Amino acid sequence: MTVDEGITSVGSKQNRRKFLKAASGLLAAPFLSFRAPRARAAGAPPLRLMTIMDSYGVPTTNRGETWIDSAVGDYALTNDSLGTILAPLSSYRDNMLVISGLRLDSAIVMNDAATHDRITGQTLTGSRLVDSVTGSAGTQHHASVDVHIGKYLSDDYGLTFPRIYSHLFLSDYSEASKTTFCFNEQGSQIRSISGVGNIVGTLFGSSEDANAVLLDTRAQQLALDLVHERLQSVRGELVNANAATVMDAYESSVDELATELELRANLQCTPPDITGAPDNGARNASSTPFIFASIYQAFACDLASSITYAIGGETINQLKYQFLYDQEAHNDESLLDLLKKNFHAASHRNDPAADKAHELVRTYQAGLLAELLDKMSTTPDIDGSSTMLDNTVIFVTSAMSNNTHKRGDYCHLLLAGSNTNLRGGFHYDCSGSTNNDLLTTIAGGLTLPDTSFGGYDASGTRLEQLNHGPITKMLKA
Amino acid sequence: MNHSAQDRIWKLCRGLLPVACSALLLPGCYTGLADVAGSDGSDGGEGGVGSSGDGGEQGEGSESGDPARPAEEPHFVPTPLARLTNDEFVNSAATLLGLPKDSELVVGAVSNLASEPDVGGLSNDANNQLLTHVGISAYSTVARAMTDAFLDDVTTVDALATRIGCVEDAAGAYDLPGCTRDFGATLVGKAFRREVMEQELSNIESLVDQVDELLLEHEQDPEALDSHILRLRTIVRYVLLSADFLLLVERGAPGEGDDPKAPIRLSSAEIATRLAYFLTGTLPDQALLADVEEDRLADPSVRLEHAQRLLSSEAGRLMFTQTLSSWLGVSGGQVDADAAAAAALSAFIDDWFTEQRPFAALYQAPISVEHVDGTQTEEPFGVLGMRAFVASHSSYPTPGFITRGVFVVERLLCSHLPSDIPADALDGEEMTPVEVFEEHAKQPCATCHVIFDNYGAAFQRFGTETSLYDLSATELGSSFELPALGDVSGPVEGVADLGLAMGNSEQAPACMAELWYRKAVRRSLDADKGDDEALGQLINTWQGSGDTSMKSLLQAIVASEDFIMLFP
Repeated sequence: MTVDEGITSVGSKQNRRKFLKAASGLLAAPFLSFRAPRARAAGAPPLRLMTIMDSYGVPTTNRGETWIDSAVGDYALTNDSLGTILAPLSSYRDNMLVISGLRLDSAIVMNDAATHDRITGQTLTGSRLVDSVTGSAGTQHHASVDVHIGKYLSDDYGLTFPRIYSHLFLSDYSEASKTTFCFNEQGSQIRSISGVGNIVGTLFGSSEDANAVLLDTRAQQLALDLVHERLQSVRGELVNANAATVMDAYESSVDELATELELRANLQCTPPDITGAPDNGARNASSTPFIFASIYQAFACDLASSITYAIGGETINQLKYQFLYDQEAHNDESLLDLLKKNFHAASHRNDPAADKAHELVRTYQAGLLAELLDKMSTTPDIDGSSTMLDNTVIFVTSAMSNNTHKRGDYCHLLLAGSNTNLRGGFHYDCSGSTNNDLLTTIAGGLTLPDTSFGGYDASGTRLEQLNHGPITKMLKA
Repeated sequence: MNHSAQDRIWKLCRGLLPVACSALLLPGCYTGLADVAGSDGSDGGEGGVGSSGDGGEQGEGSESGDPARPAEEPHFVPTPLARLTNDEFVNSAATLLGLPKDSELVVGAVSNLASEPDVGGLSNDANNQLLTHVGISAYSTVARAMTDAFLDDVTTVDALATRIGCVEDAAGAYDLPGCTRDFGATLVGKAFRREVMEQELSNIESLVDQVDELLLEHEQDPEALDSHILRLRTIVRYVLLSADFLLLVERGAPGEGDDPKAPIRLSSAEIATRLAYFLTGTLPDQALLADVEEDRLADPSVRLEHAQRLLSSEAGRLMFTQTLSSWLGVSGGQVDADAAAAAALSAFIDDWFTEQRPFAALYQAPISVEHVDGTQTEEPFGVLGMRAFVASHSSYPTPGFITRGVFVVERLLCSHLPSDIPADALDGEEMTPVEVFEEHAKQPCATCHVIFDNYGAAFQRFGTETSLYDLSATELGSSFELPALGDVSGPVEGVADLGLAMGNSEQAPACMAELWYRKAVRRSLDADKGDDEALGQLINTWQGSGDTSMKSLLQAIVASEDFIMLFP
C-alpha cells in the first residue's frame, strides 16, 4: 500500500523535464522565461475538471423543496424547479445538469452500507476497494475518474503548454485514513493537501520578493542536481532487495520536483489573499471560501487540469458550522448543537434538526460555489477567446446519497461550460443508469473517448452489468 | 475445515505465537483473509516496494515447507532499504543544526512533511515508504525553515560568521566562503553518519561555486548577508535531501559481502546508526561515535551498555512514549483526547518504562479514573482506563463496543479480523447500541462480532461520547465471555478483568514484542522466512530473563546477532 500526497503528478510526461530544459534554455540560459505567450492552438480550449466531494449528499426529506422540484423525468430547468440548496446557483441554470435517481451499483453489490472509507473510495472509481481493513488506507484497482481525466487533459488532450499539475486533491482538514476519494493510476490512495495555508503554499509558493524567490528556486535546483548525481553513486552500492524500486522512486521524485520548480520559476501567478483564513489544523468551516479562492487562482494561472476538493471535512466530522445558525430564524438548540459540535452526528439522524443542518450547510456551500462561478464566468481563459467557465466542468457529488448513510437515489450536480460536451440546462432522470455510467459521461464531456469506467469487484473481476456506456442524453455529441 | 482452509489460517498464524493461532482457528471468521504482512491488516507493500508480505494469493508458492520453494532459498527476510521517518528526519535535522527539540519550528515541522502511512502503529515500515515528489518538496521546505531558524537572529555578516563557527584571521577578518565550505563539510560528516569521502567534500565546494555563479548572474553582491545565507541554505538543502542522509544506507563492514546470498555484518558506524534510531529516533551521539572509532559495537555487551544509557536519556524516553502512544492509537482517534488526558497517558507510559515495571502493569496498574459525576477513584485499569486511550477509540456515533473491541483484538492482541463485511451484514443505523449488541450476538453476525463486541463491551462503563466512567452503565449486560485469542479468554465484567486477562497472558506480551521487533527491522513480518523463529526466540529471551520490563525487551533486541546483520 502506498499513499500519495495531494498532487498526482507533475510533468507527467516522462521526458518533460528534458523538454522543459530545452524549451526554456535552462542549461544554457537558466533565467530565460518560456512562458509568454501562453496562447493555445486554436480549436483546443483549455478544458479542466473541478470535483467537489461532500460526504452525505442531500437529505431525502423534502428533496422537492431543497433539491429539485421533481426527480421524475427529464425536463428543462426553470428557477422554480430549483430547491433551496440549488437556488444560489440559479444564474448558472443553463450550465446545470441536475441528476436524480442514480444507483451507486458498485456499492450495492459490495454492501458497504455505512463505512465511510469504503464508500468514499468507490464514488469516484465505480469500483470496489481492494480488500482492506477499516481504518487503513484503501487501495483501488485503477485511478479515480478525476485523476484519470486530469491525466488525459494534461498528457493526451493536446495542450500547447504543460500544466504543472495534472491533478490536485485539496481538503479543509484531513484525517488521512478516512479520506479515500482519489486514487492514482496505481490505485494508491491520494492524501489531500489540507488547510488553506498548506494549499496556498504548495500551489503558489512563497510570498517573498519575486527575485529572491527566483534565486532560491535556482539554488534549490542546483542542490537537487547534486542530489540526483549522488543518487547514481549510491544506487550502485546498495544490496537491499528493494533498492532499485526505492531509488527509482527517489530519482523520479527529485526529477519531478525539479520540473515543478522550473515550471514555477517561469510562471507568474499571484497567490490568493488568505488574510483571515483559519490555521491549517483548525477545524473551522470558514476555510471553504479561501479554498475556493485558491482553486480559482489555480485555474486562472492554468496550474492544473483537475482539482478535487473534499469540502467540509465531513467524513471526519470535524468542521464547525455554528456561524450558519441564526437564533431568530432557527431557534432550535438541537440544530445549533449539530452545527457547532458534531456535524457528523447529523448524518446518523433523520429528524428535522439534522435535515436542516444539512440543508444549511449545502446551501452555504452552493452560495460559495456561485461566487466562484461569478468569477470564472467573467475571467478570460488562458486561450483568450473564452471565459474560464466556458472550459470547465464542475462535478458536485457525494460519498453517500443522503444524510442517513444511504446509498440509493444519489443527487448529483454538474455545471458544464459551453466548450465542453455536456448539455446543460436540464434535469436528468437517471433511473436505470449507474454511477459508472455517469463517470463515463463526465469523461466524455471532457472529450475522453472512454466507453466505460470502473466496475471492478474486490478481487479485480469486472462486473459487466455496471457499465452501459455514457448517458448519451447528457452529451451534446 | 478442509486442508486448504487450514493452510490459509496457518498463513495467518505465521508471525504470531503458537498460542495465538488457536484464536485464529475460530470457525468462519478468517477464511479467505490471506494477508499477514501488515499487523494492521494493510497490504504490506502494494506497489511492490520490496514487499515482504505475501500479498494475498501471490504468496502461495512461498509457504514454509512448500515443495515449490527451492531448498537453498535463504531462510531470512531481506533487509529493506529504509528511509528516515518524519520524526527521525526532523530530530536529526534539528540535532545537526543545534536547534532545540522543543522549539515551535521543530515541533511543527513534522506536520509540514508529507504524510506517512501508519502500519500497525508504526510509521517506519520501509515497504510503505515510497517517495513522491511532494515528499521531496516537503523535505526541501522544512530544510529551508530549519536553516531560517538556525539563522533566526542573525542580522549581520559577522553574526552569521559566529553562528557557523568562523574564526577571525590575523587581520580580524572572516573568510566566510571558506567557513561556509567547512560548515558544509562538518554537516555532511554528521548527517551521513559515516566517514566522509573526498568526493563529497568536493561536491560541497562545487555547490558553493555554483551558487556564487548564480549570484553573479543575478547581479547580487556575493558578500551580502542574503548571499551568504543562500549558500548555507543550499548546502543544508542538499545535505537533508541526500540519499546518504534520508536513507539508511548500509553497505556492511569492510570485507563483508563476498557472498551475495549471505548475511552481511554491519560496520560499526552502521550499527551505531541502527542503535541510535531504534532507541532514540535520531543521530548517533558522541558516545556511540567514540565506540565507532574503536570498532566495538559488534560486541553485544557494548551494545547493551549503550542501550541502557540511551533508554535512560531524554531522547530514549521520548522515543518510547511516542512509539507506544502511536501504537495505542492515541493520536489517531476521531475524538481528540484533551491535552491533560494526553499528558496523563504520557506520564503513565513514561513511569511504566523508566521504572522498569513488569509488562502486566501496562494493563493492570492502578490509575485515577474520572467518573461522570465528577468524582475520581483509583482503579486497576492500567492504560485501558486512561481517558486519552478510551477517548481515542470512540468514533461516536458508532457503538463504542465495536470500535474499542476491534482495536483491542487487532492492535493490542495482534489478532486479525476479517477484512470484509459479509453480504448479509446488518444495516443497524436505526437501532440503539443495545439493540445492535443483541443482534450481533445472533448468527451470522455472531461468527465475528462475538469476538470484538465482547472485548469492547468490557469498556461499556466508559461513555462513548464523554469517555467518562459511569458505574451505572450496564445496559449491555453484567458479564461478557471473551472468545479465546491465544490464552486470553474467559468471563469479564469490565476493564479490570480484561486487563487482568491480558496482563497475565502470553498473547499480549507477544504482541508487544512483535511491535518492537517490527520497529527494529523496519518492515512487516514474514513468518515463512524466519521471522516467526526470530520473534519466538526474542520472546523467550525476554520473558525467560525474569525481567518483563520494556527495557529488558529492547535490550534483548539490540543484543541479538540479527540486529547487526544486513540480509541481502
